[in-house]
Amino acid sequence: MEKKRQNQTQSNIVQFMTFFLGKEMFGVNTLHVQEILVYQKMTSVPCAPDYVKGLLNLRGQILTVIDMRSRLGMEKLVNEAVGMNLIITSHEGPISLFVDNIGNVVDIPADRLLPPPGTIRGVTVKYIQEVCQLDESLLIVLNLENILEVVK
Amino acid sequence: MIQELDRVLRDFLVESQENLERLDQELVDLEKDPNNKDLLGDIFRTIHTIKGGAGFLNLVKLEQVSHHAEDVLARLRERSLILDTDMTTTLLHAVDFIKSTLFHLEQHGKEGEDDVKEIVESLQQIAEGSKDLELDQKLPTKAVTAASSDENPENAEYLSEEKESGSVSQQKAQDTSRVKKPKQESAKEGTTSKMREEPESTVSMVEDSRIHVDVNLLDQLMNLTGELVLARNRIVQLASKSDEKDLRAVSQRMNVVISELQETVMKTRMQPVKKIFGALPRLVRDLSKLYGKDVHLSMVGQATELDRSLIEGIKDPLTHLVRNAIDHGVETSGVRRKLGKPSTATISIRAYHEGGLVNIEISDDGAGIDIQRIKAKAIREEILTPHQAEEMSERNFLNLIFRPGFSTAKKITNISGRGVGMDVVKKNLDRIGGTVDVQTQPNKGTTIKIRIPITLAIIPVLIIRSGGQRFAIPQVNLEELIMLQSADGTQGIESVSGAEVYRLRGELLPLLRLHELLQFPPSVETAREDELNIVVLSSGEAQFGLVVDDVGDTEEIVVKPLSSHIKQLSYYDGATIMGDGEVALILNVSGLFHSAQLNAEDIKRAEQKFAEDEGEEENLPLSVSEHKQSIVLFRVGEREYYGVPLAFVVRLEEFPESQIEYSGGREVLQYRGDILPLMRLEQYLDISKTPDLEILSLIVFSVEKQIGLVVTEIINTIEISTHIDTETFKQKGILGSTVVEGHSVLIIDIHELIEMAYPLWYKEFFVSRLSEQDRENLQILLVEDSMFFQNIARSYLEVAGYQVFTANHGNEALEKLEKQQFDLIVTDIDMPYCNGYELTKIIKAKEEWKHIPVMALTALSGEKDRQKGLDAGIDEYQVKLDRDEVLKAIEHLILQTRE
Repeated sequence: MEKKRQNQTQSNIVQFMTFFLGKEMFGVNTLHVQEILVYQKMTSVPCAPDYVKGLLNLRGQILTVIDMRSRLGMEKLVNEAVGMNLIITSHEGPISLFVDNIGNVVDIPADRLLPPPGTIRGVTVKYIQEVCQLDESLLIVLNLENILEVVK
Repeated sequence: MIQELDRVLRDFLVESQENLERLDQELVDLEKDPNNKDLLGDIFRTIHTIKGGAGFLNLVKLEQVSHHAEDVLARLRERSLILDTDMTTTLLHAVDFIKSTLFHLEQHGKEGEDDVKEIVESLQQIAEGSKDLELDQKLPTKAVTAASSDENPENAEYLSEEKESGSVSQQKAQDTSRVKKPKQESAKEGTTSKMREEPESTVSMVEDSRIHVDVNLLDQLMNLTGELVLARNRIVQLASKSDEKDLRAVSQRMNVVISELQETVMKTRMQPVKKIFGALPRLVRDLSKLYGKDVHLSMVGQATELDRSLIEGIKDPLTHLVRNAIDHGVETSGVRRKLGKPSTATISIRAYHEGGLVNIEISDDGAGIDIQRIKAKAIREEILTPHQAEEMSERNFLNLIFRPGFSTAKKITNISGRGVGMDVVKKNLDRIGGTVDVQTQPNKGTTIKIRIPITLAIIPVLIIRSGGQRFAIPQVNLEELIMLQSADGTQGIESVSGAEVYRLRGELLPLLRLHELLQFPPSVETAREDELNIVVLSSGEAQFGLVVDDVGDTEEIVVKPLSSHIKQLSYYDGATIMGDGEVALILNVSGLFHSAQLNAEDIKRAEQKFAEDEGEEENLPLSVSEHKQSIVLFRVGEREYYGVPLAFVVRLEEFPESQIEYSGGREVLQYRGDILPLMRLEQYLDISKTPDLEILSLIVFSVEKQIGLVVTEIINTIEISTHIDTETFKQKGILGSTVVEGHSVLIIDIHELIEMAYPLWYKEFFVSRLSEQDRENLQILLVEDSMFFQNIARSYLEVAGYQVFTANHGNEALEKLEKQQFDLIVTDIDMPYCNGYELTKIIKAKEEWKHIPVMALTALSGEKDRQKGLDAGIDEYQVKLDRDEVLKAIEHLILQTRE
């Protein structure tokens, strides 16, 4: 059993799209990423939960923009016009994650991904799927399902 | 091979289902008219085709049942059997069986386990029962059979064609071809059923002009068209700012083509309401038999089309309303005879298009809804206080029946009256963006009107602004627009215990401020301080005013879904992309109202308190509303402003100048499938030449028939004081002048203008139960202190052909009465020097005058005033600007005095 898992994971490389919120680096599986969009004018949705930043017109499709800072309990971006939209696919169609900046695509062997060690710098463990220590920083892999969960 | 067979099976299913949809209705019709050979022939063929298909596909049960049903039908055709109720019921059961078997086939690919024995036996019994009859009357019957089978099929075909070409035909045009083919065959083959094993190919031949298309494909086509519409909106917007003439021309052309494309694509998803109406005759038949009531069902407008997604959505509400009408609405024959009504009750269902919406009216001529009972129940259940109940309008009372758990049925039956029902109807309609409204008259019946959008994908909306953001409000919820102007924007708004209300024609309209509802921070930009825009909305159960910062245009928008993060808020129905690419949210009117329910409770309390405070000032609402009127403000030429009372306006439109056509030297427009005559003010009033514009605005009126007034720009709907200046600009076609936003505005007299533009208009189109001569000889005394209303009423009475004399108050009226004979008195209620009640009392107390009918014109129709008027002897009550009703009532009163 143990052996089998090792065999499997050795050959398994997982690709992550990284992005930043402040100094923290996060990643989502590239399989879920549709595209990246620079800051767009958004229509705010009065009375919506805090983490809903607004609505975006993506080539005729209306996308909900989720403010990742707000979702992860961080302070909001001061100059939001420098932010980026990371558009991911969900069961409800595309949805945009509003982040500070987009990083690179990184390849990570699956066996280097570790379960989250409780709370990491204020981010609730619920939103974290795995972590991986890279050369200089810690990559926090997000649990998209929980990120996209509807909160009242 | 298996696939091939699957395809054959599927085709068989599709075709059979289409035919079966008609069968219920046809059998019910046949029961009423057993000698209708066309109908019988049709039913026979449908069953026969199913039998043929079932045999081919080796569907044993289906074949058995259809075979025996066909036997019965054959006997009926030979006239060796006469259809009766039991037979119809058995045949209907057979049809039910066929339907359920087909359904089972569709789901599971094989016939169900249902036992056919019982149904086959009863069919056999009927068929065999006929044999005795046949033996008894062998000779004559044979002769008749022979004669009819030789000649009648041809005859039948001829008849059926005639029937189909008539507008009242119950059959869809598309059925025609299918129906006709086998008919020709029967003409050739003639005599008995046994001979008619026709090849299946004849049936498939007639399918050629239609193909089956995957619904998903249509949906996709619809979405793509939606995108195209959005792109179009942007281009048109950009082009209108551009100086390039060619670009503007191209965008204009594209605009037209895409609009047509949009319409055509929408049509592909349309289905006639017949699809759901088809099941109703059967329902009515079964239920009326069950309840021992004699009910006639009449259905009009079955060809009215609706988006397929909505057809399903109204099926349950409609069925429920028809059930209700049979159970509670209509009385039994005995009761009806006692009341002097025709013993057969009528339930009529009418579907028609109006203003981008589909209206469905379900009326019965039964007992009506007992408003007193609703009132009592509402008070008993503490939904209303007795005082509120006194003040409440009829409409609001009736809307109480849509509250969950509110049922006034005396006894609970198994069709309706369990207190679930009307609220479910409402909920179902809410879901598809529809509204429902009830009207009732004791012992005359109830009419329930459903309004639904034609399609959910593209809907007409009004764009408004609040907190610097644009929002769309579905037109289906829109009642009217009010703009209040004053120094601080609060004129006319009354506030009690924190809740704001506005008196709209005497009724309290709760106000909700969108700005506050959506919790915009106070810092966000707001409307101009000196004006207040109120959008009057109806969510079916309640009417309320939404205060917004600014009111924009009406637009057709493409509805886009929202993610569940936002859907959880009841405020929004969806979103759309505006012409400039920005996203705007679509407001859910029902949701807004419910979220403010707490607020609404406050208002109720406020309303109550208000009414108590008011106590003796009974005339207040009257005078407030009488002194205000909504007008549509528009511009002709560069700087000339005009207004026309909103009450006369049917619709506001925009159209490209290029669409104007000429007919008999007159400008006309193709409009909603009809020819709309046009007129322009510049031809009749002294107006400086108007510039040529590509896009013109149109105000549509309906005076007997629709007519359009072409204007340069429609500016707004505003409320003005009715104290207008009637002297300065005295001329034909003008009621008077007033000042709005610093502009001098002339109020036009639309009825007189129509006569000026089309002198024969009223001669041609005015339908009256009185002859022209009659009307010319009738002298009406119009008593009204407001020159605004006096001029309007005089104008429409005069163009209708009556002789009109006017008085400015009650005393003047009495003076005139002393000198002259009048046939009818039309009076205002609230006047100085002897008001309408006093005037009526005096007239009714005097021997030589008391035969003269008195009609009161009011600005509102409140229950309390009506009672007071009746006590004073007023014969009839009408609303001032409701020309059609006023004229109808006059005819009625005149005819009554003659009896």
